[in-house]
Amino acid sequence: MTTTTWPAVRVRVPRLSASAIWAGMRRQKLLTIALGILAVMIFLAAVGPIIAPHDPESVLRETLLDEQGQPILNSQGDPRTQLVNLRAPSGTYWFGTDEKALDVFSRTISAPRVDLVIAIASTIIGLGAGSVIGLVAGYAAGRGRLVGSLAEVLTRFMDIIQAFPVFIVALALVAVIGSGQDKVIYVLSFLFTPIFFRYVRAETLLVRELTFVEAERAVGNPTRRIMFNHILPNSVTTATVQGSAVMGYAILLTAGLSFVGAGVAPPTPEWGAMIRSGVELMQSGQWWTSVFPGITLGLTVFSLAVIGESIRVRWRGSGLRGY
Amino acid sequence: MVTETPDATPAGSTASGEILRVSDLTLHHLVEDRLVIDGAFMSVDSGEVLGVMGESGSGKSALLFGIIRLLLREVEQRSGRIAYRGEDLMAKSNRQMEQLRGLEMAMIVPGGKFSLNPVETAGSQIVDVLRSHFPDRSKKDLADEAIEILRIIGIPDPDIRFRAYPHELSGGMAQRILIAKAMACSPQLLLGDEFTVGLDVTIQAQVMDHFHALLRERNTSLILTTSDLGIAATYCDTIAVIRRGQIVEYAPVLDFFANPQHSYSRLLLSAAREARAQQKMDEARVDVERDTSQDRRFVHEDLPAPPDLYTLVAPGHLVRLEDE
Amino acid sequence: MRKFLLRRFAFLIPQLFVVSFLAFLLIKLLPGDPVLIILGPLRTQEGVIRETKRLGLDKPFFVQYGRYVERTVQGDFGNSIVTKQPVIEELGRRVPATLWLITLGLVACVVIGIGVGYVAALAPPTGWGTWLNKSIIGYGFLAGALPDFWVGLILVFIFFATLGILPAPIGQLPGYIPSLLPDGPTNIDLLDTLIKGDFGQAGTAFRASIMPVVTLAIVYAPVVLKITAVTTTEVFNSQYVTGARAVGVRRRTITRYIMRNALLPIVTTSGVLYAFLLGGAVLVETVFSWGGFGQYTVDAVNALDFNVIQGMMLVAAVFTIVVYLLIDIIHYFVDPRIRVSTVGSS
Repeated sequence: MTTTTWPAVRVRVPRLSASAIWAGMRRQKLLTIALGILAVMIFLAAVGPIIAPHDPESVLRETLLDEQGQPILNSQGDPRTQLVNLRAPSGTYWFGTDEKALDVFSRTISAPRVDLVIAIASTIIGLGAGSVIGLVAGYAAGRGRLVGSLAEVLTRFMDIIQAFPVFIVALALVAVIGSGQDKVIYVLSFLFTPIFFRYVRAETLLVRELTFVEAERAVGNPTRRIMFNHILPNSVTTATVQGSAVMGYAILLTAGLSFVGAGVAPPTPEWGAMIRSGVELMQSGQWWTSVFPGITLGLTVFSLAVIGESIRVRWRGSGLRGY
Repeated sequence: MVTETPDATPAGSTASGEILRVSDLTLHHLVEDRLVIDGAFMSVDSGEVLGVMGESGSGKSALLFGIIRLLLREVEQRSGRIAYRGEDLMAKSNRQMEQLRGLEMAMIVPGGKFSLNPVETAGSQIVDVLRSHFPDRSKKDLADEAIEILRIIGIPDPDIRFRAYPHELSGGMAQRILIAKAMACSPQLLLGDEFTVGLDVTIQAQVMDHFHALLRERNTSLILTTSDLGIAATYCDTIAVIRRGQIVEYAPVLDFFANPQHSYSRLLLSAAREARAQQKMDEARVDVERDTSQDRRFVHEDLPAPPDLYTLVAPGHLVRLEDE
Repeated sequence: MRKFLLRRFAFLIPQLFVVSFLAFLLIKLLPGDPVLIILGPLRTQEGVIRETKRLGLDKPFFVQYGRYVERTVQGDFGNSIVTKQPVIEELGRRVPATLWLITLGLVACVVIGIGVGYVAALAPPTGWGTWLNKSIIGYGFLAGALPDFWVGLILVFIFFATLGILPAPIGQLPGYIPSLLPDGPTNIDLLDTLIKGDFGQAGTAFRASIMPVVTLAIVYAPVVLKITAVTTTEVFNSQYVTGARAVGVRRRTITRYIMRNALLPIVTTSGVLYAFLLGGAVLVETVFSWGGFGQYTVDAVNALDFNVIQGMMLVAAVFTIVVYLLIDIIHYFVDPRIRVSTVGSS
């Protein structure tokens, strides 16, 4: 005979459809596209400069002829140079060339080596640093008098770093330590540390109260071992889930820094710097130098956001809470 | 197979008249593509308490929301006639339904403080109900009436509770506020959706006893969904058992407990009795020990059920034919 | 009763201290001796010693910090190395323009976000409702992925370069040389021209502010939109709204219930966005040569103008702290759960 369940308490919340749409949107299709874009970008980060049809960092060699059939040289003195350098997209130069006669397509597909590497490196460093500090702060919180208050100070410090507008701090830090790919990585790592710190600290506070941690302590495992072998693996997941979104953020910040001349400087191919080189040109109608790097950047960040969202949804079971 | 049933027209019966008549109500869930309610029917008289029993997911709540015409947006009504005092509710506009809700029929929702607006005081939420139907009356007047309602519902220190926010109330108190909201405009028909679930047993008994007495006093009808056998046996006059959106048995309460006909009803009863026996629950509220001295008998001779699907086993006692 | 607010205000003091310390520390870490930057290449040994003494750089670290706090509290942020002007005056001229821009941007985001988000949340689950919700989700991802400065450039290309219907991205008042404009009371060109009564100039200033504000709206409105759609849906489906509808509470009151409950997350998100926009505005200002705080910052960073960097860090942090304080105060007044209970519980 079958048994009938007779539940005592049942929370009955009517569920309407808008939430169902928000939570259950067709992520699969979108996710496939996003993974595809990211795969292409990673591939380009590996081989972009190699497969680029033109050298992304040096000017085009071939000369053009003017109306009289005379060669126009790529010289700074010639007022016609800029016009000659700038060529609209064509069969030879798919995305056109910029005002320095650099091939926009070659530069666009070479940029992931700069942007993606900055994003991945700064996220990993920030995650690592944030996790360790968050673990220590979470484990030490409310323990001994000195250790506990140190943890408290650390937490407050991280809060206050986050009180500064991110982009302003990034600018100021770049002013302090200088610009360039490696410097941008340091700056972003520093900025991302508090983000991951918060997640890991919060999780550590929960995990350290679980019985298995007590059990480990009871059998006399050393504190460091408990922290790194038992608590860390359990408390780092929520932070890791944010990784993809933070990477997208890193790309936007890098491009922003380069856009105001504080990040990665030309001629190194970088999307933000490329967009900057087209600022005046957009006003005079030569759109291609800024538009193509912007679209590529947008696609990359878009795919990271979509991937991040579906990881988060898979992890928590519900999504799109907040931004 | 029918054994003795009470007389067709028992002595205590009063012909107070039908207040609600539902026939062939079918609700379809668009997203899940299934029938939430499949051909439901009922007839409720003034002062009658109809208990709708079934396990969770059987469609009990959907039935109530269907009657009061507050469907989830992904649920559409396929068919059905709902007549309230002879008026066809299906012919009413949304605005007319909004007027009718609260004034004529209202629903008591479960959930205690979670079913109260967290950012406004309990009192102002009762005033909101009153003001929705009596917009011309003064604020002071409505506030006084709200406090009076709280007192009638059996809330101690009504003027203090009036100013309390939901998070400051206990579960039992919050549930009483919800009852007060539903009864604020003295509707003739109340729909109660498992509203004592989650309260502890003594509080539950207190709340229900007081509420039940109030219903009797005002001759108000109630449709109560429950999965609690004790509540069904103690307070209901008529029982409808619902499974997968279909009413499988519909009977006067004593008849139902004495002679459950449908196999599913028997299953429900035996499972519940077994659970009670296991918990060694020896309260007074055991289903057979109902104090029937105050009871009025409600026997519906003309239930709007399709005759090809239901058999009449006794007066007012219908059983759905079993497929297997 | 007011304890919460008092405690919240008291918390400002340590916050400001730490913020000022960090701003100070950062400048100490700057490469290069500020004295050498100030004096330039044509300097004498005595000059360097004198300047070092004058700036107090020969004193111990904490003495220097103490002097710095003292000066800052009195509103003395030092002079800019580049323009030789007091930093506080330059900030006073430029910060209003930026606040104006990001405030307009925030208002646009909030109006669009709440309006569309509310409609989306209450839209039917079929037909246009599904379509609207899906578009919002897709648009949200897309807008979140695009750099704001790039979107600004696209607008410039379309509305200035191609269609020619909006003015060139050359400042708040295109066609007028900023230095020739009299200093208005607000330092916001649109408002100043209006106060002066010059509606021709005001019209130009208005047209010039369309593109930057629309840029901010395009990129950041989805932030508000998303939170509005999600919380409104949640509140609408909540037990208390269903409960209120089931006892016949009228529509107007239901709308009030939804608004008041959905308000808190929306306020928080909008506040965080407001603080974020101050940083984001740097880039949008650059595109439109807005001449506000953002461009000032960029110039200072590129010129290692340390007093200015210090000043702008402080302004940015104080702005953020004030915005967060406002969020907490709004929460206090809207959400009774924060307030200390005045009524005994049962």
